[in-house]
Amino acid sequence: MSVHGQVKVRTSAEQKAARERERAEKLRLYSTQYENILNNRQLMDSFNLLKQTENILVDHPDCFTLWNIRRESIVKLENGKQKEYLEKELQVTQMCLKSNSKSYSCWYQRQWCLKQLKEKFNLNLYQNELELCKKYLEYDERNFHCWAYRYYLLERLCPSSTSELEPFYENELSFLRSTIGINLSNYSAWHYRSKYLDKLLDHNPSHRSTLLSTEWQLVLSAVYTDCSDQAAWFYARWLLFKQLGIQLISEDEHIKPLEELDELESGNKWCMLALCQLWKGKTENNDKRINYLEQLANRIDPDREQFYRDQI
Amino acid sequence: MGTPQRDVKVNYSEVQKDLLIEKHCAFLIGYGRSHNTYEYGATDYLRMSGIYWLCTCLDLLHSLKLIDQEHIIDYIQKCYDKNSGGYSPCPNHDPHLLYTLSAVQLLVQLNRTDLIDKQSLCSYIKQLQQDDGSFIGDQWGEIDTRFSFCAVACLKLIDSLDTIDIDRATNFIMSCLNFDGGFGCIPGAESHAGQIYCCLGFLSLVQRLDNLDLSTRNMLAWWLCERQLDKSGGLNGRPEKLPDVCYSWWVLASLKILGKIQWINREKLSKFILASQDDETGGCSDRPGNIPDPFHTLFGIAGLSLLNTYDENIIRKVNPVLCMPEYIIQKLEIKMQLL
Repeated sequence: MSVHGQVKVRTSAEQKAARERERAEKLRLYSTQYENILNNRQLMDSFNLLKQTENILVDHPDCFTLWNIRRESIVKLENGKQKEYLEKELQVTQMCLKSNSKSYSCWYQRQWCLKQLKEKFNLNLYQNELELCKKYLEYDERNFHCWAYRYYLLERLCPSSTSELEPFYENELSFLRSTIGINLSNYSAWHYRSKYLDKLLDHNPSHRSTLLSTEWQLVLSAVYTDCSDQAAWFYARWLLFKQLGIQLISEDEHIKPLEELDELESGNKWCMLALCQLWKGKTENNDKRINYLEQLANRIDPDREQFYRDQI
Repeated sequence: MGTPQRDVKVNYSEVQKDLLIEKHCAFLIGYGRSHNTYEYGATDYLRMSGIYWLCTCLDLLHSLKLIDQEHIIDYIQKCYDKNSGGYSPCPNHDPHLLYTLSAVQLLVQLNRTDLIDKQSLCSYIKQLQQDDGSFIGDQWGEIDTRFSFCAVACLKLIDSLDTIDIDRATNFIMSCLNFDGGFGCIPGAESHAGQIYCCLGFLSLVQRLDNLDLSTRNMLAWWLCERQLDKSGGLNGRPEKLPDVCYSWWVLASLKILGKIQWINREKLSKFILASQDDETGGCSDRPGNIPDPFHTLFGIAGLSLLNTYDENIIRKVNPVLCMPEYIIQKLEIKMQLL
């Protein structure tokens, strides 16, 4: 019903028929097993249900009803067994994530298990889970399910005492900085930086101007390394106009370095647009601003012509 | 110069340039009948949405009459769960808000809202709302802004929006707003075009787009128009990702809600969608040369509709918020906010 990223290979009638036969057999197995579970849901015991649903889920982790059946089965178990199966479930979900690391239901099952283990058995596995996330992010640095799950874990690991909060946030920001460092265009890492920077600013308002200056230096080093790094440019706009605000933008700290970059990387649309936004409201730069926007619209990035015209 | 943009190579001198209406209709109808194929059989967990993709696409192509509507209505009723008031994707599977919306959209489209038990449906949706205003998809507690959209879209279609706490639901959506003006699936999560569509759609349906100030709206529309890739002309769903036909829908509809559809190159996007058609079997795939499916076929056709590439006699006008033919929304007099 919904296929992503599968290249179509045109095949001979014979190959096609053989493939169809193989797939038909796979489907027959899937359907019989599935029907058997659904029809006997109320009759089968938990262990049997857990075994049978696992067989299907390893290849089809999006079958959410089967995860529901597993949860029903697990909560029915007596305490000792329940804990054992909740822990086993972490292995099952990991196997399923191998077949689809973007399965919403599977990531949620994992989250649900951790919560049960914590609330019912006082077993806190959140810290260990960060390791799993690291592994998945090494495999796919943009997996948004994994990033969101990681954020969820960190929210639960967040210390309650104020004195520990600052090092906690700083620790995360340095993790994100190293992630940005591996691949300068890791948009996900920039996104989470914005979240932790916000938290740190709320926590420590007196350090606001130092924090924002350090952050601006990071943005500058990113755009000086790769002037087309869009993640850094989206972040720059937020930092300049939502965090600093027009009154705190300074000629020397913010505008000059970008003007210099513009000279080095003449015709870079991101840098030109950022300058146009910084020059807005400054009469001495108005002609240049309009000239840049016209260049962008007519020549440099004509696909977004109307966007640039609307900025004039 | 920096890192080159990630994109796919499309050989525009060789690809399909015409809209293959008959082939698409045959593909869609064939799909609904191909019960013995693996692609069909192993996707039963989302079947109700599959039928919605099929029917909506056929309706947009003026061909809904080609399918057995009674058969579909029968199927929907088999998926109704009396205990909860919601619908499952497939008989014997569990009900879920995602498939409840698809079922309601279908019943509205097939002009059979008389079959909806409004009271049970309202109480089903109401009990899924949490204290923080969010919605869980079913009793097991997963939270996602997609579910907030499903809840208000369902209620809007049966004219019962006041069932839920809209203030709190809106606050939850706003708590998912990010630095780039976009939205994620839960507070803290990264922006994604599909999620942005759901959140903007939500705000449009409850007429609260004003909650986004002008600078945020401009930031978001800029981010959205930057989803268009230079070479292929297709749209991606997040920065540095490959283009995909379904984002022609999520991104375009979002731009339409914000009144900024003119910020992308519409002609290039049309060409990308047309190039993603399968000229052998009919149907559209995620990108040129890949395997087609009903999901991408609907969102490709719906994208072409928003782009006004063809006359309304060829592709009907689509509603950008509910992804249903506009004539139905007009008939029901459903109002929403578009900027």
